Amino acid sequence: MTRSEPAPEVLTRRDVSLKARSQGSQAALLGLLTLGAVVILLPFAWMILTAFKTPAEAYTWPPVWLPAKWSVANFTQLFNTIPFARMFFNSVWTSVLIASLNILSAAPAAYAFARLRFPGQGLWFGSHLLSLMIPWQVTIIPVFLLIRYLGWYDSFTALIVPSIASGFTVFLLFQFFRSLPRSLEESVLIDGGSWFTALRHVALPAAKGAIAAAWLFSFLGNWQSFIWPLIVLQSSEKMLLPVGLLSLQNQYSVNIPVLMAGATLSTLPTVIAYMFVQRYLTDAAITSGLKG
Amino acid sequence: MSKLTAPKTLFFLAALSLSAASAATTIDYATWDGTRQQADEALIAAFNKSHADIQVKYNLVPWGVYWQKAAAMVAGGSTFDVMWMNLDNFPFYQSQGALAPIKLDAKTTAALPNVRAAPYKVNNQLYGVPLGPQPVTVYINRALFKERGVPIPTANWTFDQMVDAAKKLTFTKDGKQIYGINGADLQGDLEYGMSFYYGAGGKGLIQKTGTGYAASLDATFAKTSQKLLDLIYKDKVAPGPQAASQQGYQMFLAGQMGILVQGSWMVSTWDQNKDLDWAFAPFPSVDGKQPHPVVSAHALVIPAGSKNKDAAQTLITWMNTSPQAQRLLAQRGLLPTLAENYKSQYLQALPGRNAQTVFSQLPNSVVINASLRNLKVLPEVLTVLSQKLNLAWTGNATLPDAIKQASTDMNTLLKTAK
Repeated sequence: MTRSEPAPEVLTRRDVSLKARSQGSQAALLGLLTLGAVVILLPFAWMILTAFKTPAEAYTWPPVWLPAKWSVANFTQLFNTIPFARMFFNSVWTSVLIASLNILSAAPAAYAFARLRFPGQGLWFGSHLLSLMIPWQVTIIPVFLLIRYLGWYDSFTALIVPSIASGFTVFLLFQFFRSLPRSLEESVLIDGGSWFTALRHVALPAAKGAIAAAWLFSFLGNWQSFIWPLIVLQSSEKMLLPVGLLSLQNQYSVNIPVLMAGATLSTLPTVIAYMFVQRYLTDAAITSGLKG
Repeated sequence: MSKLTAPKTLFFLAALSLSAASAATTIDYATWDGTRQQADEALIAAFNKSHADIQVKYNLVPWGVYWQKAAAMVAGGSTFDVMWMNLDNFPFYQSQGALAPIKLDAKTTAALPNVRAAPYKVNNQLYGVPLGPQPVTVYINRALFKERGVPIPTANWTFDQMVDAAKKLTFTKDGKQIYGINGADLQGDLEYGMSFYYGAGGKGLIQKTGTGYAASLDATFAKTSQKLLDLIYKDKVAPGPQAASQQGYQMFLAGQMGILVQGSWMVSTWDQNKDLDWAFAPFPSVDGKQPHPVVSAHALVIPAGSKNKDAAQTLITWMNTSPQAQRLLAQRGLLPTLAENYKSQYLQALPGRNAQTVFSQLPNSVVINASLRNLKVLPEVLTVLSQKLNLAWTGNATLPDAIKQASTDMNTLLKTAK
């Protein structure tokens, strides 16, 4: 039996050129992305490494990357210098609560905008979009005066309540709900269910990914929030991390290794939260409304 | 009549103490200085213990946002009861009516050092009680001095001797550049540079002329500034702005600088590096004249919006004049308001650091622009001066050109001042 040999692939000079060009562009792309990754990761690496250096190593010039002897003294000093644990706890619970309340308030609103027709719908939705366009600096003083009038100054209520409603979260979830096939909810409505039933039993379970992403965005925003907590909170025991870490910087000097120790610890919750919902953030269906 | 049994007595006493605690006035104390947080908290604990009717709450507002927060609070009508204030911001807050006058009894007023209290007076009314003096001083790295065979400075140290020492202390070690002295932050118009200017006989960069004011960047200023600038560009013993991204104090902390002209407030910073063999050194004389380093003092003020002014005043008086508070600060290596009276405690807190030098220079120290503190355009004028001088310090202009430009711009601003 004669085995039929596959016809040898005949590459023309043009094919070879195209393939080489494609490989070249891929390598260039890879190089570019690697460079971008290095640029992004270097400050983080510097932050973490500096947290383990002695002050002499941290300030030496030219700089040294690796500590000669790894030490946790900066972390110990951090906890001795500022009430880091309390600040950390304050930041965690307020960020988690605000992000969760954001979702609770935004999901029904977004669903209503995506599915229902009611008088003034465009106006209401437009006002949500408008809130994204007005810089927060413009509203900060009137909101502060309102907080004072209500007697909420220096309370966590002042921090949490104004942050519950978020036009961004409404818009994000609106984009997702709009992309859901209507047939899923129509079956609920035909069976006598209400829009609320459809939201609870169909839309929300289907929107788990979008909700996780929206929650993360909100959590990160509040975790990093600086000006508002600075203005409305006064007591040291209510201080949040971003404000607290700044207290390591004095008028004339800053304790960089201790500050880096604090910054390293303060990034942990965001990294953990991001790792949990990372896959949702790459879902085009969720983030499509945020691009272009 | 029923007997007062032990449990009843205890209950009665507890009720009494509860009612006393609930009647106590709570006041908010705000500072930006986290380096002395433990000392401040110890002071407040002692005050709370000795004043049952007042409870003080400590608030640390980071320096980077202190003034924004203060301005927002004043504008919003809610405020701390006792606040830290500095010389640069005092005129603005006082002129806006944001500060309450402070009335001290004659004995307490007399005890306050006039040179540091005067800048906080307007029309002979005190608006701030100064905290401890903060003199500009000289630090040396004794290990580097020893390694390079440079004699430790003595009381008659001169500017030229300082430059000679800096030259010997400038070398390369293990691939690292060691500098003799800091330079970028010795800009002629700033408090460190001005310490040399006053020592050279300078009388002030702005002078009163009849009914107005005029810039006075005279020959003394030009000569002193040139000497300081030469440390970077001629003598090459100090890092210029291009030489290193590190600040002078950071290089000193890393053991890469032999001499550092800075403020007495840096003492707690040196604690970061336990291996650093630092000491105070005498302020060098310029042209054989008596040194006059700059001294400043922050103050405690009472915002006009405070609802607890009496309690606030009690706290300020106790904190800045009571023997208990003064001793407590000095024992922690902090200069208290009446520093001269607590010298021994301060020296004991900083053994082997030649700390008596600080006290030696205090009587000759001067407050920068002391007579001009109420000049409304002062911040703008000083900003213009600093910007122009910075051109020379960064190598973007010659010093005479920078001084000429600064004089012109300063006079333009001062024309409107009265």
